[in-house]
Amino acid sequence: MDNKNTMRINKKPKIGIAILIGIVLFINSVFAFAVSSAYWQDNPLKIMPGETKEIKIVLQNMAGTENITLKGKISEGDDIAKIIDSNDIYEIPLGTKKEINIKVTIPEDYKVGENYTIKASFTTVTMGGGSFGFGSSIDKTIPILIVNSKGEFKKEIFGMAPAVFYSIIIILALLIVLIIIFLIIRRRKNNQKFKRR
Amino acid sequence: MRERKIGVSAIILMVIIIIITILIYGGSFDKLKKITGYASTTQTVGLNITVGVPIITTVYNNSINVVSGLTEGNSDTNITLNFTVYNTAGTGLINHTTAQINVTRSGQAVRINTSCQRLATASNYVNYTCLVKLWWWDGAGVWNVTASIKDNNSNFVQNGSSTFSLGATTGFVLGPTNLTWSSIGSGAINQTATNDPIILNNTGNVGITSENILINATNLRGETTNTIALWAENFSVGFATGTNAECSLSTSTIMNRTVWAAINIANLTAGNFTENNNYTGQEALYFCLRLAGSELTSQAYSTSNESTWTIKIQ
Repeated sequence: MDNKNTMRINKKPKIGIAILIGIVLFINSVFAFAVSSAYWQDNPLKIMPGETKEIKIVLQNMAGTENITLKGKISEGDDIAKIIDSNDIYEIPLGTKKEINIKVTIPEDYKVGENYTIKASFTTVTMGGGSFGFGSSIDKTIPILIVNSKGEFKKEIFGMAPAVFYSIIIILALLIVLIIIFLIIRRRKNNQKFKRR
Repeated sequence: MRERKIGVSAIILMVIIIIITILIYGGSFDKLKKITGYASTTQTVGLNITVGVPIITTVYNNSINVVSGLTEGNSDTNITLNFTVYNTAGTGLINHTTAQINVTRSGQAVRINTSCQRLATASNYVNYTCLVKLWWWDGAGVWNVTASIKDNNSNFVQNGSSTFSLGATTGFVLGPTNLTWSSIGSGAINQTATNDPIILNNTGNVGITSENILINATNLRGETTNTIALWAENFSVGFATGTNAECSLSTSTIMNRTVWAAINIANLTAGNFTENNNYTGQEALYFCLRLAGSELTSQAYSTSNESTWTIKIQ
């Protein structure tokens, strides 16, 4: 069997007669793999502004039928993350797993509470320009949450924790109310004194 | 003067309210509830005192390394969980055959081992080891571990204080390995592949929602005359078949050369794809050649001049 994705068309231009064309689309290389990580939508990587962390994701070739070669790249968020392995081409023998190392660096000016996303893409590499196959590709999303040194991630308001900010607002509001009450009472007293005179 | 009286009254009222609140929350009025008016009587009370009920002191794992994800399907992942039982009256009263452990997470099936093995016995302590099988679709997140056991008097004890984290695995496998079109005429339309669907199986525990199965298609150029081709834009892929659904603009997705095209509605749930129902952990894709150009000549067409088609999940 031809080892290419090939369609053969036999054209016999004869008006009124159906032309039969045999087409075969051969797919000689079908790969299966998986990408695992300790971070997902509900469990983001928590990291502080100015901090650098190295994380691992795992490539698996447990469900396929042959060895695979994958090309990895950071397809989203490459301004804060990069693959730090010596080569971005990964040979994954059948029945094995391989760890991929990614370094995440968060700039100092990133705000606590903000969310970012890194997308690591892995695509099967087919050898030989003439061969054809349905290549496989997986985009693995790693969510990132910016936290402070205590691991908290509520957004700061005017450089203060939200609880502190709102406490100050409430105290100020109470003070204003008290001052208004005090002024009203004092005014009434003055009015009464004036009437007595 | 009047305002001063009002102010003083308000302060007194506030103090009274605060004192009453403190007394109520402090339980000072609880005794009032016990005054019933009934005369006291003499009662005989039977006491059943159990000595030496076992306690599960520790639950720990020996081989859990699943924070980075489970092994992809269709393999399962066995984890070993151990626990220690203490009994002041000695280990002879413990019913070893009732030692069991289960791992649970909201929205997920319970994974359980009801026949944990006795590992070791030392004075009043017994260690048990349990192999728990996790399946590739078991969801990412924190799982609770609950160990339990009974003694010979059927006293049941359990310890649910332990947890472990399970990572997220995104993976798939597809087949069959070839597509065929039996025969077709140049200028023909809506020619469906004869051996599709291509089946995608979800080998991970992350569900792939609609619009997240994509295909990057390329042209199949003539190998002799490469200026003519089966153009990528003339192919469509759909999740359904019958009455040329895979060719219809409303139910399929037109391919676009070197552009990722999300297959309309197609999705991959996280589940046991071995059920083979095209739904649980599985998706079927049907292929259609919507137009074989009338200019095509008799020759082989392939992707030799361009790159391969790629199926992606995200």
